[in-house]
Amino acid sequence: MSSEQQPHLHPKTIELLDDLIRLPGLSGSEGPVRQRLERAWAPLVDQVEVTRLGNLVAHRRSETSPTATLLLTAHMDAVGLIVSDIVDGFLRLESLGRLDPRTLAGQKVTVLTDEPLPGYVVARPKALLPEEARSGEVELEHLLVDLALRPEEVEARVQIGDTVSLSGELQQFADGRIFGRALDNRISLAALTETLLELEGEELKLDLIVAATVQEETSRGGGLTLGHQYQPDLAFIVDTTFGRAPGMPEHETFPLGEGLAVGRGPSLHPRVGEWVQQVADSSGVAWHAEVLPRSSGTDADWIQLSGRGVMCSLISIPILNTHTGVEVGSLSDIKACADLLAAFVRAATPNLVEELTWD
Amino acid sequence: MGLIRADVGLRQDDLERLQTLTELVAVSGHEGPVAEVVRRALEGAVDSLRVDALGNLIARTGTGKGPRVMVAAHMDEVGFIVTHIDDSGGLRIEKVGGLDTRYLPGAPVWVGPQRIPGVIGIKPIHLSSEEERSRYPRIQSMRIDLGYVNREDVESRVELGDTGTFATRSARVGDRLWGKALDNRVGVATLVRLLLDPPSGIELIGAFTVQEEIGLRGARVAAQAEAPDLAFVLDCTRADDMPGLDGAEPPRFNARFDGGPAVYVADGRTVSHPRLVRLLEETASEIDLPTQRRRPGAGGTDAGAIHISGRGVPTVSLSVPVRHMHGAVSQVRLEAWEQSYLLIEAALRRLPEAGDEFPQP
Repeated sequence: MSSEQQPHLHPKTIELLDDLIRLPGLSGSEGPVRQRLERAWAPLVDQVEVTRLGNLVAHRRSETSPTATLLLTAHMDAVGLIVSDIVDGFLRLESLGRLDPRTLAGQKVTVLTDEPLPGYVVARPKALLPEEARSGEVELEHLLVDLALRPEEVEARVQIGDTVSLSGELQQFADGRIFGRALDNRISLAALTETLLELEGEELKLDLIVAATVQEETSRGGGLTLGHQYQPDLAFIVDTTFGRAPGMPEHETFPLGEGLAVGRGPSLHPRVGEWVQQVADSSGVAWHAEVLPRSSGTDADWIQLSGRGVMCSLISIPILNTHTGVEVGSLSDIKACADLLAAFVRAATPNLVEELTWD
Repeated sequence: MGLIRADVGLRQDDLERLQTLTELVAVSGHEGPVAEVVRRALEGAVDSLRVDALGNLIARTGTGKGPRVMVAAHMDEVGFIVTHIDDSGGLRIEKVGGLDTRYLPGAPVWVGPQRIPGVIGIKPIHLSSEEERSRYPRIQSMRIDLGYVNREDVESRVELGDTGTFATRSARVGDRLWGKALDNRVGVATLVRLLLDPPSGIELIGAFTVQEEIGLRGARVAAQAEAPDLAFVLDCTRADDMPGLDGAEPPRFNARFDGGPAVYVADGRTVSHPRLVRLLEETASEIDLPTQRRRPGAGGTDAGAIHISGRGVPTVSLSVPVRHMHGAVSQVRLEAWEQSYLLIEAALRRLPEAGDEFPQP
């Protein structure tokens, strides 16, 4: 079997990923995900704290002093929906983050009222829609949430402004592939957890900060304030990138199960990028360069520009069907990411800052 | 104990059977899994069971006891069929019957009777043009991903012509039931119950038909073979009474979700026999059940084939209102389902007295 089919992830990582896919955690309401992560990370680090906006920050300190600070971070919020109106017991929706409206009909959802309510997104009958809709036009307005409750019950329990999360469970295909909602970015949180598990018990030469940020899909405030508050010497941002399915442009997508995408472009420090690639090569982790001409569209953009400026690298895990309920990823890519980050932590030295210049 | 009515009616095992039936993959032309469940339920409880050349399952009880009454319920559901396996092991599909293709992108699916799990993916919005983002993709450009890395692993499990459906598990929410293929597992479950507790005084011919969704094909053959005196068709109809975009009352909604069992006067294929329409409505009134008249217009049921078979068969359809029919997940009111069962059961019991009002073949 190929290595994609036998990834050997720590059982705690799979269990965590399973739980994270089940938890809502939309932008601005990341609480349940933060609590679950805290439970996973606390036994593996020296200290855990929560910042004003809700970022979860875990510290593993080095015995060496003085030393450099390395940040590993991934966003924990997921895209979702928000109730914009209630009509005859059905809910009208607006987006919270960029969901793909073409894939919403038939999606199982949870309305996050005091007692969460399960329902489905349904398409209005074609006879009720204007002509353009019958020939295939997609509008969020054409969709509704049906909770299978009488209108009076809905009025009593749901309010305009309640958030709506895609719901579902992590499912496994053969060959080490998985699918479910919110692999963006819970698959990266699994990779960070696996990294901590790999480094468990080892002496570190650097101070390590592992963080889960809020609101990356909306205001980007989590990443920006994280960078400002901690001003690490070096930051690795872990996010997802576009996996390659047949028919997709080769230069913009990456195959699943064949390693990570390492970002290259003005928003990312070039020497760090090179260093990452060297570490990947020497530890047998496959990688591909991902060229980002302006910004990356991830926390890396704002962490780079925070405070006095931070040197950043972007490591991305390829997934298919981004921002739908059926994102597909490979367990072996989680392992590859953890192997790479752990190898980098072991290889880096306390004076890494002096070694890194822009040109 | 009935679901709704304490003394008579449907039972917990009828509901469980319905839920199981909705989770089978039995698209037009591949109704076997449903026929198997029906056969197991009826074996030994009816006078005869036969499967014909198309796969129709015909059950008979009360042979020789009165007018020969066919009650038909189609076993097939709308779905998709595999047309091609591409180089990377992805499946290309076409629809079978009136599947609502808006539900396909981003859907988890089952392929084949063994329900191989797959997903229908899509090119991310971030990589798509404005035009692509604002339109549903055509079904011909959709692709089912079964998660295998190697094409051979797909080819050893899937063949061209295999069919599939949405991967929807049934769930009850109070009086409502979610599930795919409520059209027409609801009718199938009702017919099974009717055959297990048949009314006396008639010969009841239960026709579990195939291929209704692609042209009433099974019903034509079943009716030609059995040549019944009368026929009732149990099916589902759209309850499209949902809010329109501008808040206006929907113009064509077939039936109201809260209106109770829907009696057909006419649809796109059939004009119901007026005496049978009256039988249903009078019976409902007598036993205090609500009914509604399904709005005349488009659509069809097996009645379309049955009523013009042989020398003609007086026929009427009785449907349960269903929301989001032909989508990934539809919804029915359990009370309406039970009312439809109580109504057909009581109407069949009244038939022997009413028999002489019908034209003899």
